[in-house]
Amino acid sequence: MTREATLLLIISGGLFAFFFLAIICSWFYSYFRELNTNKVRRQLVEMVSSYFKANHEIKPKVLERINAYVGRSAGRKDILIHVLIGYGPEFMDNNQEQLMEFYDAAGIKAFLIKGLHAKSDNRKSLACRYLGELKVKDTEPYILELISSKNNDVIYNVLLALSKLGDTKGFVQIFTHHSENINISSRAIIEVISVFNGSVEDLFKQTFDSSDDYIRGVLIKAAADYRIEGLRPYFVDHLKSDDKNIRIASIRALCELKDRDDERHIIPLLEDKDWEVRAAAAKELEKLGTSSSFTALEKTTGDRVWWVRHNAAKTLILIPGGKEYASRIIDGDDQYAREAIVSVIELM
Amino acid sequence: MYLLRMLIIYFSEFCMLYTIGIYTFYNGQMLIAFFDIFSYFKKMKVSDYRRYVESKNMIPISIIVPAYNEEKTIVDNIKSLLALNYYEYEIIIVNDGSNDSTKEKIINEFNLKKVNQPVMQSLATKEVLGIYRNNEYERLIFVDKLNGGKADALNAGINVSVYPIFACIDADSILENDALIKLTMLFVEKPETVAVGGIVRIANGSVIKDGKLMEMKLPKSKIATFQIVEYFRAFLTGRTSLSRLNSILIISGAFGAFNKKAVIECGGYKVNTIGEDMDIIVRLHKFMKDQKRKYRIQFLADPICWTQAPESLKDLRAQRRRWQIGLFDTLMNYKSMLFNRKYGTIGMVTLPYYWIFELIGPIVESLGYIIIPLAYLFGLLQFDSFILFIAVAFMLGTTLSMGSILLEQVTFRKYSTFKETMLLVLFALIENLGYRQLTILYRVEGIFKFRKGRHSWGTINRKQFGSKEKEKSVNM
Repeated sequence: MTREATLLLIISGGLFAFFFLAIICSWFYSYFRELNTNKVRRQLVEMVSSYFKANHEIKPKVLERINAYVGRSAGRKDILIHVLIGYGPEFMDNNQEQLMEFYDAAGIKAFLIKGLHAKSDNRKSLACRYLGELKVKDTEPYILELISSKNNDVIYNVLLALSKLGDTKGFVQIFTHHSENINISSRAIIEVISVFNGSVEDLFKQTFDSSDDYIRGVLIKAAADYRIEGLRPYFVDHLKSDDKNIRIASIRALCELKDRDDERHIIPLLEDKDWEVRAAAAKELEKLGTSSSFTALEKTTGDRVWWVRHNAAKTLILIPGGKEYASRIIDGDDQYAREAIVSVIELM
Repeated sequence: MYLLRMLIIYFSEFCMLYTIGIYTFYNGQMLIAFFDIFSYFKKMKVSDYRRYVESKNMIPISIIVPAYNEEKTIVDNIKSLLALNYYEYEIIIVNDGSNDSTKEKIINEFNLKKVNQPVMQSLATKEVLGIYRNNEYERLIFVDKLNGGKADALNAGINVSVYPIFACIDADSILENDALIKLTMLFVEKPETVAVGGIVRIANGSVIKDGKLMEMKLPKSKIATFQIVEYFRAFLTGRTSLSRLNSILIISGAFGAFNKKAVIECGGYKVNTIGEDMDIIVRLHKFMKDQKRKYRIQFLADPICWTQAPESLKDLRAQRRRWQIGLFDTLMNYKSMLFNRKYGTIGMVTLPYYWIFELIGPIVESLGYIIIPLAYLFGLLQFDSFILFIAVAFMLGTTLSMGSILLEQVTFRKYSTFKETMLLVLFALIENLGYRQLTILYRVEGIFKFRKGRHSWGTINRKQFGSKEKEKSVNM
């Protein structure tokens, strides 16, 4: 027993000593690393800034200095990339040509393309991310090669990079031929589309009809925020979809266009077989509803689902003239409809 | 005498084996935690979570804050929640029949009016007396109900909430700016997620202004500093590693987010229990496994919620007793899952670990503290063996704390000065010279008071954040 205890004591003593030394070493390492990183960042900020301010004769000399300073250090390259990202998207757009020259000469483009072929998914994701942030042109085919990855972070960053590079062709290809690889949530896809640097109208038109139901629903949801008149026929058409998510997305997208003529397309959906669709129709009618919706909304305030009743009541009250119309419901026999209207009025 | 001698000898051997077992498990946990936190850091490097802060596209969330006798801090807390950086959320304050002026303060401060809002009774709760709102504060909903305990208040909040995800936050907790977004990101990235917990850190000693933590410092109170080391062990090492195995059994009641549908499906929070935060997680596991559904319950060591730790032994005792009773209660309620292969890692690893090491551990340890010195006094143990036992217990306990401090040091580095780091090391060392034994004693007391105390709440005095004089009474 004593032998085991002694052994245990030696092991724990060794671990204790190791952890103690590791704590001290890691503290000093972190401290000096931070100092060094800040120093490198300051130097690079200064050099990069002088590069962009310099005239054509001096530029190569500054570049030489930067290359000599960064050398083969991946860490310094990473800091350089962050310094460039710090200039912001506007600067990237306005100095595209100059930046592309810089990326090539400073080896950033080659470094990031090499990152796309790394074994680690994290490095691949990071390379995609940087290529997108820096808007490094002509790297789209390399990025697209990663679309078969099984890692969601890689897929997300591939989409994000292509989006920032405004690569409509690549996007269409992914949404129409590789949609089974996209296992990220609809919110993430919408977020990616929201930073798309090309023509979103073209992107939607080319993908609506040839993508699967899931992607189509997501694209319609994303399109709603852009209020593109040219997409109206698509939205109206998809109100008849068999997929309830597509119907809901189309209701929202169509109502975002705020054209009262579209009211006639939405009213029938107050009687849809799925309550989520009825609730969406009742809610969105607020944006373009007129007195033509009153009768249908009155009927919907008596719906069997609370959310549908609530949305219908709220919309009815908010449409001009609706409040007066709703007083009929308060005096009526339908208790559910009455409660829905009263609770909405109290909140106004 | 012979029997006593044999008992002591066998118990010493058992103690040694038990110690080897527990520390092997803990060190394994630490190893997993190191890998997990490092991979989380790598992931966060490529994560796009900051984009979602302003995004219309982020999952909307209902923040439920159960409140009982919180008159001194509730208004400030609501103000800090109203200022959160999140695109779409609602704050549901549930007054659980406070007998101070909590209700009046909220209504007067935010000029709330009683509304006739029907509530979907997804979960049974004590009667809701009224719902109050004001269009000027669209996000804020105040629910006044009869007293039914924290779980009942949370259930009432769930009934009133409109969004698919809800977060429960203690009325006197402070969230870091991007804590909510980091927590909800997981629901976006992994739709099978049903619950996510964030780390709870101790705010005692830190500088807090207008509901925001401005500067992190170690507390002056030694008891609170000991707890910082304890929290490192429990959260950074323990919960992180169990989360990695998708078998975490506790998400702190102070800060967690849940998929509302999943919680309603499994019956909501269990009322009349002291450990409702552990109960809901174990029940979610059981429900999902029974239904053979793919699901995920995760703990993240990064989204931070700041809370106050007890600074007096009286409060510490009440807290530890309560935790142990809650643990015992939950383990008893779900004993059918123990060693049940149907529940995978939870049934075969996590629950046995909780039973053997977390529940029974304090009893074994306290018996060790009694029997081994007795053995030495009765001449059954030689002096060098006795010293060896004491040294082993001390070293092993310290090693774990040191490992957790190292983990904190190489990852989050919240306590960044060398002096603070060394102070934490010192506290990790002296923790085993009294403090640990005290907490063990409190936990043993919790086991023995289980029947009596499982439906009651201890009262703990806390200082208000940012104030040194005022004290308030909080139901824990």
